[in-house]
Amino acid sequence: MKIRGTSVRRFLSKYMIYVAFVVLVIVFSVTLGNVGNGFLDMGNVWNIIRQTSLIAILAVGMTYALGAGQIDLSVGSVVGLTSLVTAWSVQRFGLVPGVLAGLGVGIGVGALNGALIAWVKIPPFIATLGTQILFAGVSRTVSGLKSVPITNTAFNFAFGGGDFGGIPVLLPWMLAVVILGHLYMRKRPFGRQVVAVGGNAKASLYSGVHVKRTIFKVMVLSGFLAALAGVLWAGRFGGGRYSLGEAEETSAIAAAVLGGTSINGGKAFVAGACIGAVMLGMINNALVMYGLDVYQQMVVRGLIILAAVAFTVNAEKE
Amino acid sequence: MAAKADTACAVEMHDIVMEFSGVRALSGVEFCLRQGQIMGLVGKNGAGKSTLMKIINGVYTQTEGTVSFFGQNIDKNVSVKERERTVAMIYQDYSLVGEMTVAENIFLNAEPLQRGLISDRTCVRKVQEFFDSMGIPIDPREKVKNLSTGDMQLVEIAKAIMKHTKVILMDEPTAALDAEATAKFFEILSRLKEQGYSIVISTHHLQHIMDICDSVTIIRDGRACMTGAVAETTLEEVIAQMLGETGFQAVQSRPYCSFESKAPLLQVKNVTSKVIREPFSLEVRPGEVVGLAGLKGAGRTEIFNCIFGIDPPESGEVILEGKRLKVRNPGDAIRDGLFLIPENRHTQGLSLMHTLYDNALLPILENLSRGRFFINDRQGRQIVEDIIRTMQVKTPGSDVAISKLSGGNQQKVVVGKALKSEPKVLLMDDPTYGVDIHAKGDITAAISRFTDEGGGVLFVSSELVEMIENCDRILIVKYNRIVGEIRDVPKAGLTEDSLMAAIQ
Repeated sequence: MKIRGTSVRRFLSKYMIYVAFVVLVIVFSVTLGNVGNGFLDMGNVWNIIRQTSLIAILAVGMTYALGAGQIDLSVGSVVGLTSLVTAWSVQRFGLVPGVLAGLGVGIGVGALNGALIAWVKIPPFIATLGTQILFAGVSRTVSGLKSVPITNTAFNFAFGGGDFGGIPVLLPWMLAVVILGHLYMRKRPFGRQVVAVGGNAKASLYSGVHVKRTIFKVMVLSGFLAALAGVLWAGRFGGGRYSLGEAEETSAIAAAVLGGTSINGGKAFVAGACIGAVMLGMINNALVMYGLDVYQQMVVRGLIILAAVAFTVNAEKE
Repeated sequence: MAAKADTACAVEMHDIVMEFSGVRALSGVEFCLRQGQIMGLVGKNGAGKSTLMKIINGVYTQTEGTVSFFGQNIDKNVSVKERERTVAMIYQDYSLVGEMTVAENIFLNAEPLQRGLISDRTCVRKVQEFFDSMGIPIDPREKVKNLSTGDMQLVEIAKAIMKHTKVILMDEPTAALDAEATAKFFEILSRLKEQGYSIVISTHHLQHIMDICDSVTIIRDGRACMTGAVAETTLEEVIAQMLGETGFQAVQSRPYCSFESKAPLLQVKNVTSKVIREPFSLEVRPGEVVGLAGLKGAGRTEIFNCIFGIDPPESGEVILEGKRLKVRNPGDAIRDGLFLIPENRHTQGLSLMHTLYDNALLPILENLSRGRFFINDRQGRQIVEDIIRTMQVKTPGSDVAISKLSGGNQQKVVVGKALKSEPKVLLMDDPTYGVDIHAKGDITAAISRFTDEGGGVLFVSSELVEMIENCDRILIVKYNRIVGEIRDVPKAGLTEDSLMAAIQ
């Protein structure tokens, strides 16, 4: 009996995220059945996807960072900064240069984060907290707090705003990033080196892994994915704005941890991060449908994130 | 000397028996540390030195026997904290806070208060007075992180003495010190002794015991086999007593083989690193096992770290198979055909939270995806199964967390993963430490297979017998320098005691 008890518990801790996902879907669809067209109405589902796909992309980058024992608190600010850069460049130089400029900025700021952590040896928490404020300040200063509209309709359609018969164009973007990110983590040497560094950096060094280079690359990847989210955010919003993506690093961390990535490094699960992001989006959506105002939503969201992370962290100890 | 021998015992132990789940670690030990003396505590690894010291300071409770401090019987239940008022143990890993000053550390949790506030001035003054009286040249206002290892140790001692400790127990206090720092450290110890403090140092540096101690107690097989004045004994006798009869027995060594005619596989010429300031040179020929013999802290690990790129060479050259290497990090070293089995498998050798599979393949992930996008996991499985089979790893499978395996099996995985990166020269830093006898055999067999195929090995073991068993040639290391060489070990009729004497 005891053996069964522990195996049930192990099953739960391993697949908790899926169980919670299903439970939430059932609870929401039952309790919200009479609100509008109901929770499971396809319009509502695509709405949730639209709201969560960008968080999911940030969460993939965060999964790499956390897996390597690092963290990237700057991603929210990077989204705002790259949305502005993209908007300007698309307006001035056209679609392709605009996208490349946005992604280039992301790689640049990721490289800055990586260099600060790996070579200047600033702890990742502090380094990216610093760059978070830095980038937020830069966005505000150069934009004068104004939005930069994008009039290129092709860009706005392809990069975030469009949909095919109701299916948002963001869905394939998210799926592409998640699937590639997942395979890269599982099946490429780099991914395994990332978790090895997060699990035991010293042992990785003695096994020939270039630890600093790995940490650098992880931060560049996180910056790049934040920039991609920024480009998509600009497309969805129809322009760039400093406040886009602000504070979403918290959502990305929550999604990654909910998905089974260890906050202490050494364990990373990209597909789980995507599910975590969708789950957070579902909760947000449901809270709106329950009629909570924005501030009440914040209270509930904060409590849910704390509870979920506390649960996962404790399940990890077993 | 004779007068001193008559002083009372600061710590006396009578008929001490210590059992750990039925296994006897100590049986009937008699012990007397005389007041105002320095005693050397000697014994092989696992002889029971640490156990004895931990019974004195109360970490362990003896199964039988009595302990008394200054003639007063100490009840078994007297805690470490209470004993600290008389007896303090100075640990190797320092319990100091680097960011705090010397004075703050010394008074940590015992700060003198004035109107409820900590008086830093009083702290500094008290510490300064003590340092002056002992001739310790440390500024009490200096941050501990800026001190040398030897000075940190002195701060630890000062901390104990400020708590009115009369007896100081130290475990390998000189392991991390160079010759100069050791001399300085001993000067301070002598002064402490003159002030009436009683000191025990447990160490493998037997020459240090001859230099500074008044008496020596030798533990062998859980008994105090010799207690006496240092003035009345010799280094040879101490070694003989410490090793017992086995120390003189012939050791079964590798079959003799001459390497003279073979071209060197690895040549290290006049190399220095951040840590090794004086250039060193060595050579390994194909099929040869070259041992680096020295006491802990003598520089064995430092030499390995240099060749392997942890502290990469700053000058000189490393040549493998005639090709000059440029090793800047372990990744370079592994690619070039070197592999280090590090000293500590838990912190350096393995990632304990990950599986056997992931640990074993970490060094060769790039090879497994050569010419393809994804890692070839089928080939990976075969390699891991091959490791499990050839190294005889006892495991329920390759996907178990490596932390679930026994120490010996973990180490076999470390050796297996090293061999799978197909090195030409293997650096082995104490590969059999804390490993059971069967695992030892499997590891030794792996070394033989590797050298039979023409590989070269640089070998370190904290067990001298293993050095003799496994090595064709032994280099003696002292203070980060190679100071001697024993050629043709299998023919030299080397015994443990003679090697022990050579590394002192």
